[in-house]
Amino acid sequence: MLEIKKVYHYYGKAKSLEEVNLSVEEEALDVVIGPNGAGKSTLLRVISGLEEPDRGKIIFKGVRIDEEKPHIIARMGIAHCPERRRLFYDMTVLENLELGAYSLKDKNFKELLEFVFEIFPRLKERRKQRAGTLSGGEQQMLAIARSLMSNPKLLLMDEPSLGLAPKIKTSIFEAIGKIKKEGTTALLVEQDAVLAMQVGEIIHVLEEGKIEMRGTKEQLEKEPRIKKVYLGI
Amino acid sequence: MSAKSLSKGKGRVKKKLSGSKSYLLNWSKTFRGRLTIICLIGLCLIPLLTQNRYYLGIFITAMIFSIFAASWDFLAGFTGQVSFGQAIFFGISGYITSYFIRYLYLPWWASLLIGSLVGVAFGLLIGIPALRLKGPYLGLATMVLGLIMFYTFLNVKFEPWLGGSEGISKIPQISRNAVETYYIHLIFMITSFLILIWIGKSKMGTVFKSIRDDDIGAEASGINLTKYKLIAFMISAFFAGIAGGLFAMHNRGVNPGVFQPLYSFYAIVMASLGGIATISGSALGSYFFWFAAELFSEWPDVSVFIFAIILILVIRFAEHGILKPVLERLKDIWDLVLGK
Repeated sequence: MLEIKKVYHYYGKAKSLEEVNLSVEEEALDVVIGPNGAGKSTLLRVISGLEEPDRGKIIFKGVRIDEEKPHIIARMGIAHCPERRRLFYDMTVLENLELGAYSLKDKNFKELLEFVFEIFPRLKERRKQRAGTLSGGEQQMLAIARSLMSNPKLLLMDEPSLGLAPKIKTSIFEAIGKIKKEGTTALLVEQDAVLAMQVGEIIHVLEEGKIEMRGTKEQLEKEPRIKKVYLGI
Repeated sequence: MSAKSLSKGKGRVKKKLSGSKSYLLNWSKTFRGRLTIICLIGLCLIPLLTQNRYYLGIFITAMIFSIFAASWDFLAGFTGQVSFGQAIFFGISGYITSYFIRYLYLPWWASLLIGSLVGVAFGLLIGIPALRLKGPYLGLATMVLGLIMFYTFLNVKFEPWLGGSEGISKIPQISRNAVETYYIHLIFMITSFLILIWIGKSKMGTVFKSIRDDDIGAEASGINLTKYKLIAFMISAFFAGIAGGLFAMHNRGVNPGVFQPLYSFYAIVMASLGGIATISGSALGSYFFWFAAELFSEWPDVSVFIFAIILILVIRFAEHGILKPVLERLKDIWDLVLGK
C-alpha cells in the first residue's frame, strides 16, 4: 500500500533520513522504534508531506506523493496524528472531530462519529468540553479520533504514548488494536519498544536515520542487541 | 437541475433562514443580546440629541476605527496571524478612494468599493510572506512593509505621482448633512460587524480558528493552509480598506501619515482593550479610546501617557479585554435592579 524507496532528508546540512526503504502492506500494523533523534517523526512528516524528502520516492497506492502538498495527501487518505497531539485546544471535542472530517467528501460523518465514540467512549461523554481541559490521555484519544474521522486508508501515529501514565498507555494501545481489527492500515512510531512490539506485526528499527533491522516480534527478540538496548533484558 | 431538486434546495434555504431567525430571537432574549440592541438603539438616537458636526464627528471617527480594529481582530483573534501592518490596507484604500473621487469624479460608494478591493489585492500580497513567517516574525515583517509604504508615499521623488507629504486633499464629504453622514457610517459599522461575526460562526470560521489553535494540526487534517491564510488576509484587508476609505472621506483628504505604524497600533490597542477574538469588543475599545482622547484633548501629551497606563493595566488585570468583565458587572447591576 505504501512504499518508501531510498528516501533521504536533511535539516539544513544535518542528515535526518538516509536511504530509508520501507513498505507497509494492506491492513497491516507496522511499528517504527528507535531512540530520540533517530528520525522517526521526520519519517512520518515526510510521508504526510509536512516535510519534503530531498531524494527518493514515496508511493501510495501506485501514486507518487513525495512532492504533493500536505492537504492533498490528507485527502488521498493518509491521516497523520502528529506528535504532542496538536489539538485545537480552544474548541470543543466535537468541533475537533468535525475538523478531522474536513477532507471527507461523502457524508457518512455520523457513522464515523459513532465508530469513533465506540472506540473511545470517554470522548462521547466529553464531546461538549473544550479540548484544552481534557486530561493527557483523553487528549491523545481525541488526537487519534480526529485522525480517524477522515476515514483514512493509512493512519500515521506519532508517539501516542508520549507523556502518559503506564495504565493509560495500555488503554491507548488497546484502542489501536481495535482500530487495526476494523481494517485500517497503520504505521506507528513509538519509543516504548516493549509496548510497540506487542501490537506491531512488523517492527522496523530506525537508528540515526537508517533502518538498521526489521522483522516480527519473535525474530527481533532473538537479536541480542535489541534485547539489550530496547527491551532491557 | 430538475424542479424537484430545486424545490428541495428552496426548502433547505427556508429551513436555514428560520434557523437563523430563531437563533436571533434566542440571542435577543439573552442579556448580551438585549444590551447590544439597547446600544444600537442608543446609537440610532444620538442625532436627536445633537446635530453638531463636531460632536457627531467623534462618534463617526469611533465607528470608522471600530471597523478597522475589528478587521485586525478578525485576522489576529480568529486566524492567529498577528499583523502590525494593518495600516497598509487602511492607507492604500484611503489613497485609492480619494484618487477616484477627486480626479475621476466617481461617486463615493464606487470609489470606496474600488479602494477596498485594491486593499484586498494588497492583502493578498502581504499574505504571501505570512505563509512562511509566524508570530513575532510576521509582526515585524508586516510592520516594515508598512514603513516602506509610508516612506514611499512621503518621498519627494514620487511626489508627482503619489502626492508627497500633502497627499490628496479637498475631497468632498459623503454628505453635507452631518446627520445623514452619521447614519451612513452607522450602517457601514453594523453591516461590517454582522458579516465578520457571521464568518466567524460559519464553517470557514471554524477552519480559521483551527489554524490559530494549531496550524500543523490543521494541515494534517487536510486543510489547505495557503488558501485559508490568504483568504483571511483578504477579508481582513477588505474591512480595513472600508475603514480607510471612510476615514479619508471623513477627513476630506489623505496624507502619508495613514501608513504610519501608529494606526496599526491604534487597531491593536482598541481590539485588545475590548477583547481579542470577540469582534464586538473592538467597538467598545474604539469608543472608549476616542471618548478618552476627546476628554484629554486639551493635554495631548498627558493623553498618550494615560493611554499607556490604561493599556498596561488592561493587560495586567484583564488580559482578555474589558468587554467580558464589563458585561459581567453590568449583568450584576441589571439583576440587582430587577431584584433577582
